[in-house]
Amino acid sequence: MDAARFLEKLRVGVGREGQILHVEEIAAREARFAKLDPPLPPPLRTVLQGLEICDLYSHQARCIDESRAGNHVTVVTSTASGKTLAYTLPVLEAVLADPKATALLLYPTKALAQDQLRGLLRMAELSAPLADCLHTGTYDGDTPQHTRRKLRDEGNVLLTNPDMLHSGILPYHTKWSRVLANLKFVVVDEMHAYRGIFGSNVANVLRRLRRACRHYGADPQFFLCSATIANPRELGERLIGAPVALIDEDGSPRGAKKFALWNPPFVDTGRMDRRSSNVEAHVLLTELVKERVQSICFSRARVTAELIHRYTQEALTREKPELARRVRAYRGGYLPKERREIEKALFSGDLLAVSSTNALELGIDIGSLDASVMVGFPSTVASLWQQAGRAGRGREESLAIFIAYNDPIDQYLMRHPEYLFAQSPESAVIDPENPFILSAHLQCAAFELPLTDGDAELFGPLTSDLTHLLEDHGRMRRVDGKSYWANTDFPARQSSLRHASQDTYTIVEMAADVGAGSAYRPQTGPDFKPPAKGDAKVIGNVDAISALELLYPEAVYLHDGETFVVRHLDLEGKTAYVERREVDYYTTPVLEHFVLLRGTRETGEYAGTPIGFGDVTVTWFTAFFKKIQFFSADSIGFGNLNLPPQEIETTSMWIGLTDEMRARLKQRGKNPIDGLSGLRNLLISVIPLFAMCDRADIGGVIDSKNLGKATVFLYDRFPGGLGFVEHAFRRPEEIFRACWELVRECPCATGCPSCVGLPVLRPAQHQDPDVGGAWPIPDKEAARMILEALLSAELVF
Amino acid sequence: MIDLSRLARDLGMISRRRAEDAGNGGTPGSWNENRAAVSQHSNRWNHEAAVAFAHESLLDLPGAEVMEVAGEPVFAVRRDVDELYPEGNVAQAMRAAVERAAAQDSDAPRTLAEVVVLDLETAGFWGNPLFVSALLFEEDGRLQTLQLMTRTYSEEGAVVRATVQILRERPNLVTFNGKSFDVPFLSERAAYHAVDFDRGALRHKDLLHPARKEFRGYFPNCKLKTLERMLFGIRRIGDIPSNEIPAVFHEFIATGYLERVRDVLHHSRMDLISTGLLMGKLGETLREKAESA
Repeated sequence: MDAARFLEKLRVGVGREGQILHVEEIAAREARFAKLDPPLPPPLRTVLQGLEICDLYSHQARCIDESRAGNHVTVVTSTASGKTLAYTLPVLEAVLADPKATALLLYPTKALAQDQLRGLLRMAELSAPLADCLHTGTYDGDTPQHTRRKLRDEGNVLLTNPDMLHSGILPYHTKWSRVLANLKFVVVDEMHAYRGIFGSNVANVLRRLRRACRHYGADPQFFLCSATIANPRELGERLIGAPVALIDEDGSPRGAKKFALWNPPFVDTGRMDRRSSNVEAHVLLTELVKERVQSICFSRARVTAELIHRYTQEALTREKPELARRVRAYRGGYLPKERREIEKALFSGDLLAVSSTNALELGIDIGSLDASVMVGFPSTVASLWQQAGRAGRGREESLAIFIAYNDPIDQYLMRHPEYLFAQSPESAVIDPENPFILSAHLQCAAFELPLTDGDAELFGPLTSDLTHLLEDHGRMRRVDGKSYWANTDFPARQSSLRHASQDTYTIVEMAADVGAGSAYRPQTGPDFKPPAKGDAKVIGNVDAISALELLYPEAVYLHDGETFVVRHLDLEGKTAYVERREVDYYTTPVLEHFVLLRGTRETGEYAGTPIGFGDVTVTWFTAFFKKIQFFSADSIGFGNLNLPPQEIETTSMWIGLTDEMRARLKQRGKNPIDGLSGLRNLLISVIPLFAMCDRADIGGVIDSKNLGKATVFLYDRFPGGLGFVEHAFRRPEEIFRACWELVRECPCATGCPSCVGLPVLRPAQHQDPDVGGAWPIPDKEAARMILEALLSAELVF
Repeated sequence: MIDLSRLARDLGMISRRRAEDAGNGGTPGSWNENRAAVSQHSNRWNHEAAVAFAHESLLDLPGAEVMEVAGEPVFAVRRDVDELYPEGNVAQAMRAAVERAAAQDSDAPRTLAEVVVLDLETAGFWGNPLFVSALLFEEDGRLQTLQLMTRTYSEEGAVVRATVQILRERPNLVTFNGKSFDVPFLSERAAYHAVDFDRGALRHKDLLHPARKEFRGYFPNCKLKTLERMLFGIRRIGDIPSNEIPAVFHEFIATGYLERVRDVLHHSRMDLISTGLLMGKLGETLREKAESA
């Protein structure tokens, strides 16, 4: 595509209100090659010839050198840099040299694994000797039984995912003794995906894998591939528990890219409200589709992806109806069949545009796309670059457009493009030794092999205490100095790797005239009669925590551009019954929560203000919901709810106000609670940049009951805490300064969603962030005064 | 069932302790200091003595002994089949089957002494340990059951090794559903304990398949319990259901309570004897097929 011409067209057309704030020109890059010494064996040279590859890129050659030397390797590259070859070649080399050697290739999702398998099979087709010795396949939930047996008995290159490794392979390691005893390589692709809860769990799964291999006498080499993050070596070493060699120079070529920052214009003279980013996104997507530019649009929330798809389809139906069907929506929670269809249509070019959540962020081979539109900051710069990287495979020019939300961090990035283009992105943080996480994996490990004192080397210093604790609770029993699994449970199925809650809710569509009640008078409780099998079909699923915030009775649920209304939520059966309805509004939940301080670990004073760190119990629930009209984003009503609360015990950092501060605020006619609200919102926005977590990983609440006066409590949204707010507690200066800059630089008068606003108590991942305008905004100046007091800066206006 | 809220509270204590230690820069504290405070409900009685007592009581079971197999002690219960089931004529039936088979097939074993029936009771499906390894064979002219039992977790290896040793000496194996379960299960436990177990050297006859062929349509199903009742009039009274056996394994190790273990051993013997009788009933060649590894 001709990105420059398209941007010009936008500048005078739909972008004429000055939305394009900045265009970064990313230059094309030439390839750098390197030779291997000794060269690859003949079958692999044949394969490369068949793939029309004459030389290896420098980083590919280095990867092969390091793995030949027997080291664990971490390689950092951008999308489409040929990283797959970087690890496939060493694996295939090993298999060709030793017919008994085996390798395990791990991908975060089944879809990715299946995609990579296609690549491997294509390689095998190019060389008969390779095809003869390669026995490969994916081993996951979709694999049929007889194929599973064949792979276990004969397979040498097996592709799977951490969830399968955790509950489908390691507990049955005796069936896998041949594979594990001969395991030479373990490839961990998309390493940066393994952060936060998921990463902390996967780190333990990999330790269990190393332990099982050790039992059979093997010590495999690890090969980890990551997108660009600031701490790849650290993450690699934390994931596997061993030192790694780092390769982070990228020898692959790339075409030129134009990266535009797009800020929706203000719609009011008070300069508080911006036009909806979802509306901007669909306008851009429509223009791209009309131009026949194959594009992908990323949004943070399912609801948003669905909305943008819907708006785009409606616009195309008005302006170019023949193109309307060439846009689809894509997210997790769809059934596998639907996902495959969409992927195929993209690859063939039949689909011109996809409105997606981050589900497509990972490297699925969907062919070349020319443009990538990103709606809202996807919580890390690494993710943003991955999303931008979906456009522009090969040497063609490509376009990336980042549309900001009216949201503190997005607006901050609009004003500070250097954060995106100059600074290296954030670090990924995991905490494999969080007691809740570790204890689940120690149980799994005990089921696999009895725990011994030597296991503390792998799992950390808490191992001994946790083992004794689990023995006391009857999970394990110590016999002859080893701790054996002592009950009939199957621990791997009692824990999930990805969520704090491991259940999912099923969404069942029922016909409108079936059963008592209707969408407008939903029936809950004993009066609801579930439909007969023939009258209902499963259309998707969501995880249990989100279910209570997305599928409450009367909720409007969007699926594939269609609206459904929830008629009944069965909490015990974990099923939501929905009915298709044409409505012109959507619903958004309002959450309430409470905090109880259980114990203080540390206290401090920051510029005279008390701050503390300790343990709390947080309880929250969906109190009621609002109905918001499409397009206008007006609130048109409320609905009541009666759902059970959710509770976690976690760690928290809190900040109070001194009496002096409170007096000063009151003197200026400011409400201290208002100021604290603003402060809380700023902290929730800013802490993720420093503590390197997702915004949804922390929460904040203002409470007066615990300490006798109004206090902001910020907490990790994971039992036991993951270290995020603790991180903030230990570096208050940095955090308060960033908050202060944010609020000071904001052009608004009294406060707006892009500084102190968005008082969403718990940014549930399904809530449309664009709805911020429906909430009251705290007083900007009150928050600024508090921050200045904290920083002991003079009151500057 | 685990008390999750208590576990959570106790884990919270460990969290706090971790923070304190991180703050102090000291080494992680010993759990034992706080154990009494935290686990008030755990048994304070002397577990080692209880275990010793339980193992001694086991020896009071009829036929119980600690035998040596390949230089290792293994707990075993040995019973004479004719004593257990005098009117059954089990040995006779089995001998006749062997003779019939030998007459038709030169590769089949010639005498009953070369044959062994195997039935495993386990602490669950794949991934769980072996509980009772039960064998039925003829020694010194008398048909006997030999049940090797894992009395505590660390003894499983010995039971596996002993079983593999016996199968090495008597590779003509008869089972009921052994192809799908018992032999693969034993294989896995052997792999776990790094015991050399050559499945290929076995001449394995799994009676499930010929039973299905011969009795299809006659009986409601082909379960061993159904066949033994229909074919031999055996009615088990108060038999322990198979799905309760894993819990008995863990309970015995935890409490030393013997009664349910008795039930398991009885159930296991009944399974062996019925398999032996079934072998006699099925008029087929006891032809061995080398089991592919």
